[in-house]
Amino acid sequence: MLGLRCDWGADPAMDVSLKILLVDHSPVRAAIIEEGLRQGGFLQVVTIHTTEMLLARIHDIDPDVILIDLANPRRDELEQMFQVSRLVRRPITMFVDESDHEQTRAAIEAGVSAYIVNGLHSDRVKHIVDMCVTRFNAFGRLEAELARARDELAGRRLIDRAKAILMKSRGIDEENAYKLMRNAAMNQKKKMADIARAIISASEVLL
Amino acid sequence: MTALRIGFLPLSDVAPLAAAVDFGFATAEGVSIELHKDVSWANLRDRLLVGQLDAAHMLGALAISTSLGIGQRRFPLRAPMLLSRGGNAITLGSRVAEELLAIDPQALADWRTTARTLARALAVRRAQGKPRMVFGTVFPFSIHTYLLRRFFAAGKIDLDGDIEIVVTPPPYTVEQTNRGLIDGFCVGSPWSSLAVESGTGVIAALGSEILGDAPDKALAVSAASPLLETRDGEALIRAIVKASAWASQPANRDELAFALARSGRIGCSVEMVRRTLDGEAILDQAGRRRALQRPAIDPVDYHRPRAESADWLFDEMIAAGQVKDNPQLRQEARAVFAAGIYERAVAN
Repeated sequence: MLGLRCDWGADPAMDVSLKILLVDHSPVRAAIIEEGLRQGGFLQVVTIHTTEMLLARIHDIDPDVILIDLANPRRDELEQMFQVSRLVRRPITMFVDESDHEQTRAAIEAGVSAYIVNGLHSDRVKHIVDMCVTRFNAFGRLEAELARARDELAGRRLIDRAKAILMKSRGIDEENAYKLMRNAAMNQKKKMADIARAIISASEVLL
Repeated sequence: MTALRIGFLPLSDVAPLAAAVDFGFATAEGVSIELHKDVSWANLRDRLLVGQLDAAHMLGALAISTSLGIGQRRFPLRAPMLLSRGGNAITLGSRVAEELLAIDPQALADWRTTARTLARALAVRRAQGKPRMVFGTVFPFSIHTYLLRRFFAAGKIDLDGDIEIVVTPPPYTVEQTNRGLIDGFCVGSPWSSLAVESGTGVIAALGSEILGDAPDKALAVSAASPLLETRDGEALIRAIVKASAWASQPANRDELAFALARSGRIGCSVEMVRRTLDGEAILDQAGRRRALQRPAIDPVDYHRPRAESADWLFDEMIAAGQVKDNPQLRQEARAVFAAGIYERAVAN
């Protein structure tokens, strides 16, 4: 048949007609995920960053799949809506059968949870959840790298300040000041930044 | 041994668990615990399900609904000990409180009168074509939901017509009430106190006044958890019971309140936690006080899971239309609260 919609029995990866709602408080991450979904051919993606009027919006959007980040404390509100609401088709958590266990674990560890409309076979959303998990993890690594870079920069500034203090108080050159700190770090099994911090606070007390 | 990962939500009744970790009771029993603060009950449940947590601070009703597979895939849990009973409070937003006081100056004198006056206020609203009232609970399967239902029932309030119950995570209750999105709510300590302190609402009923010492939170583990079979599990239970006995001593409350108030635990003011530990609630900004009717029983009894606890919760779930009565399901609910390991733990 030449219908535009995929046949329900087709390869789940090809089932791009699913309507996906993404609830993520991080607009940057949401954009990354949405882009991934679009690249995967899923064109019906709606992203919301707040949970204001969530029930009304779910009713309007009528999604087949809902993805929500676990850091959102209002996730429990979704659970209630799905329990009592007559307005929305009842989505359920993706723990639909044992075979999902690995994927579910990967999703929870990545920080995302999926709800799928009751009756929808979980095979059909596997592709979506997999993509989401990959991008959540990538985003997490990016954030960690950013935090590390920030720490490093702050550490370097501390070391420069401590070096200047040593040069002045001991009357030594930059290279020797650096060596002094490096030796202290090695002897005390501490980070250079920690030694620098100690020198700065000591100088603040002594001066 | 590797550390046990135990998840919790920032609520006062995490006290025995937190004290077990922060005051050395776990170490003394040879148990190492890593506590993980979380933001939703659904997260705690899911992290237990996938094995990311070894145990969790959990609503007793949620432990049952998860085990019976209500609203999700069935995943059997066990609650080898209770963590709290009879806590929580129902708070009315200040606007609603004023509405009730205008009808009856004694409306807030006791909770039954409050419920009856609320029914009259709702009748007025209905006659004027005004919207029904919305009350926040913490989760569909929670003692908080059942507490609200009992409160409304005492005023003969129509639960389907005049009231809507929604979930409002405790940290949002003040803001949502101030914005008029909810008219009142039922939450655990210290969140009601926060509403009173900020002038957002008044406490209309204490959980213990309506339900006595009904089971609230439990320590939940997977039914397949090795903790149920090993000495580690017994040691964990023993550590929490001992910590609870220590925490119930007035002399230790300062230290405990300080530890609980830290951001890694509850994250609120020391005074607020302290008041709950002292067993007292300040009801409104005028400073009316009421004692929390904490059962003065031995900690070993307090934390013991019982078939009656499961029956009580199961009956409330039936009354709320969440499950249909069925002898097999009731047996499964009782199995969640089986006390075998608890008895072994406290016997040593």
